[in-house]
Amino acid sequence: MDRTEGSRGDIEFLYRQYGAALVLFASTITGERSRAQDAVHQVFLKLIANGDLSRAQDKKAYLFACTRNAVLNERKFQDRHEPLEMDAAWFSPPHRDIAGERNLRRALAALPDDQREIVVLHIWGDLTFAQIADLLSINSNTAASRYRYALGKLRDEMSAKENSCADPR
Amino acid sequence: MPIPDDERFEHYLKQFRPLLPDALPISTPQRARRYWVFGLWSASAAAVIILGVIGFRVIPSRVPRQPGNPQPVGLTSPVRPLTMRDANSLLATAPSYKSALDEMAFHARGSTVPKDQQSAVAVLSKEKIKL
Repeated sequence: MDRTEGSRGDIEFLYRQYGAALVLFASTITGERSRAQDAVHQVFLKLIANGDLSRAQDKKAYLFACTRNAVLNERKFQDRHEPLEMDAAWFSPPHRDIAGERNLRRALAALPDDQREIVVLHIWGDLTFAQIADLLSINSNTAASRYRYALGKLRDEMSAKENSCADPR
Repeated sequence: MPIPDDERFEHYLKQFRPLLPDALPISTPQRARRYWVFGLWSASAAAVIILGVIGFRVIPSRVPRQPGNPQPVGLTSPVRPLTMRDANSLLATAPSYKSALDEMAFHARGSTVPKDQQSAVAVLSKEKIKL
């Protein structure tokens, strides 16, 4: 196996490892899973074509940054700034809780873009606040405080929805 | 759904796993390349076989020419003309209609000029005539 094959194998391994979280992250920006997946594929295909990831110190954070750039560039190119619409499921819910999955998606979509990004990056991307701060070019404390604020709103939103479902009056 | 604190809520959220994405669209070109290589090898093998068969057929048909002997031009044995009777017997005895027709067709004439004689055409062909 030559060097190109080796780096390609590494990149495919990274796709298997982080692909799901990257597509989720892109979906929370675009709202469309197919577009999100296209953007992530575009990132990985470019990486395979252009060489390896050895220069990237933090590969995971680099992949999230590339995905974000790809999605934002595509959105800029298409000049579409529609409200976030969720066309398909984003998560595999625990105990087949389909209603809970829909509830979570709605609650996430209701968050402002900057807060939603941080929640997704921290919870499902497993990025630290320092990594998120670096990625979004913000202060680490700002990232942490936005996260706490977003988490509170998310919890309230989901609890309210749960209560309204439980009490249909 | 009671959600008392952030930590437990985070734990609850993490139970929702992001859906797995589709496979990277890189297997198709690889497969296409594999087919292309297979096609190339098949074509090469077919070409070698065809050339082998042609060579096998051409080499035995070459008659070695002796420098002293002229080309065979005259008839030493008379060719028997095809008659209706011959044709009927061929059609009756041949294993197939095609082989009967092949037998009726013209054959190469294995006639040669005797050693003490020369063909006029062969002599003329050796002369250099300036026009």
